[in-house]
Amino acid sequence: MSAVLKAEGLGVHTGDLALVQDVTLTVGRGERVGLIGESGSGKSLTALALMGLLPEGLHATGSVRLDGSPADLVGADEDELAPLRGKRMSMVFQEPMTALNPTMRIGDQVAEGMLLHRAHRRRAAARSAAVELLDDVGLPSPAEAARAYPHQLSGGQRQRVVAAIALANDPDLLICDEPTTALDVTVQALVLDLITRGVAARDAALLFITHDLGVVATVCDRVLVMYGGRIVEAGEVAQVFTRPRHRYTSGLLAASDLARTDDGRLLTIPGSVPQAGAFPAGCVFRNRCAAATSACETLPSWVGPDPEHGHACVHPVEVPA
Amino acid sequence: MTDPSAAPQPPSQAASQTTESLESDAIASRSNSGDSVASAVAGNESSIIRLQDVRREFRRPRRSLLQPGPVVPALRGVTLDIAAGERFGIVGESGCGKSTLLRIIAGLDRPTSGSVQVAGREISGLREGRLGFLRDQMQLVLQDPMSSLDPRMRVRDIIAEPLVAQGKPHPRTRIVELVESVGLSADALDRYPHQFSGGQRQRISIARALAPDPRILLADEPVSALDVSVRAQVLNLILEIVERLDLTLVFVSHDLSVVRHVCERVAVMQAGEVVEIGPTDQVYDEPAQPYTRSLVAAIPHLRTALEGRTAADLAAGAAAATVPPDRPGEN
Repeated sequence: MSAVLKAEGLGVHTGDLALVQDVTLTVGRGERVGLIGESGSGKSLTALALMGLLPEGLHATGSVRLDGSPADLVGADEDELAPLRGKRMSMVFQEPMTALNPTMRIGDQVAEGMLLHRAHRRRAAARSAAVELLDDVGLPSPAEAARAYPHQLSGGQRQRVVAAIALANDPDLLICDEPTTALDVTVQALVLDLITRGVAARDAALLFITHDLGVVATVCDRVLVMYGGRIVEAGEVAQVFTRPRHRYTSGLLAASDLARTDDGRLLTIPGSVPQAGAFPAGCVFRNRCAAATSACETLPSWVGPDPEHGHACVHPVEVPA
Repeated sequence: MTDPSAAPQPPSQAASQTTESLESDAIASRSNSGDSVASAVAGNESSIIRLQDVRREFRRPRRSLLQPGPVVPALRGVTLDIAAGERFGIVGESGCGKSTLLRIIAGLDRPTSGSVQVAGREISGLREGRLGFLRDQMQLVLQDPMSSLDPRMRVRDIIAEPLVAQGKPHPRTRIVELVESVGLSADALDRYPHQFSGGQRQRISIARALAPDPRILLADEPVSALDVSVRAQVLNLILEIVERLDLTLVFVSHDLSVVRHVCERVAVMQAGEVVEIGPTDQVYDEPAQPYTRSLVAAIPHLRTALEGRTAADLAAGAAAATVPPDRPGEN
């Protein structure tokens, strides 16, 4: 399996403050990888850094390589990135109302990417391809939807349109940043199905960012757990979610499962996610961790065969043999 | 709803005990499923919130000079009986009318027709100035603690505000007691909302709600803006307070799995109607209505996903959901 996306030592900084540090990840062709973490853990910044879309004032370090393009995407200029974005790699954002242009018709927005990347040279051809795509993503009466404006569609329909735009040029890599967080569960189920089918049909790589463990387990094969701007655990979904090693992962699993203790209370992780820059030195989780000792004051090293499998914890959860 | 007995009751005062029980029998017989008959009857002895055929219609802006604007029904005849001390959940998807229903129960909105009784008193016809008793008895925790706390007020003023508004004394000892009861320290009182994390802000909202010593706590999606690791903390706090102060809890959420852990009884709403009502475990494990089944089937769950349930399976479950053509756009 060839790696479509390979990031090594990726970091995001603003001034002296490190927001994301030392993220190493690969996503192979046809592979579905989840990136999970709570708000403020740096997962969206990681996605923006991969796409070269960091807002002003933030800069990325490390290296990001897309299979088949020689340049390192970190530090690449706009001329190098523009031909890749929307063609080789594309993104589905969380909030479809802000991702779509409110003053443009749906059909034109879908066609825009195909025209820019010369998939179709004639406007009419691109438009009819756009209608086909809208049909593919399951919009009812696609020809009518193509003439509509974003505000005339429901949230789920808008997210289908955003997915259609992202899939328009058959990208090799699709990055989804919380694509279903704003949607109802029934609509979420349909959009998740649409994304996984779209990715499978194109044999594309999928990087799926979410805070919902149930969604990751449904969609992804592999998962990376992020906290405090660092990857703290990684591995196959079945492995990480049934036998977590990092204390944060096991706490997150218990909290999201709404598991109960013997006295009927729900299991929690004490404290709350610190502000950016307020994470402790050493292990980023140690100020909320029950197992923390003075050994956690130095940065724990990665334990595992490769960056895709392992954990960074001094006192990992014991696994029954 | 063509049943003549479902006609809106005039806002009558203090009905006698016999008519009250006759009324609740009528409610029970009008309910949608067999389960709700049992639960409505079980709840009627000490019901603290009673809704009868509550309807709410919103009028869209007119499109023509000659005709009034079209009417959008947000609630199409909701009949509910919530017992004192009960933990009651309301679930449904956006646009189903659950927030409208909560606003009507809280006296922040008025039904177009139907009757709303809280602690035996009719509230739907009352003027704002006469709802003081309701503000004493019932308090609200809203979804987004950032927008429901005034950013320019200190925490102690936020917590004291329900008392100030009612013209009640608000000694510092009481405010300290309130803030400590939600797990914050007294030095939080001099700070502003932006200095707190999302979970702590929601604790401040809860402290404010508890200030007038209410009997009923309404919570509108209180944890959906929170991180997973903090969500359970806030749920624990709500449950602990409800138990300690013996409150009635009405918990509105789109997330059936959260409601399941908080509430004893749940009503499932779709398009302005209660389609299913019953004990939470029963509704969750053996949903009787196709809509509830699809709602449950669409929840991505860790355990079932690890057993091999894919997105396609979820979608197949969700596809059974019938989306009404005229979803009102509120909520």
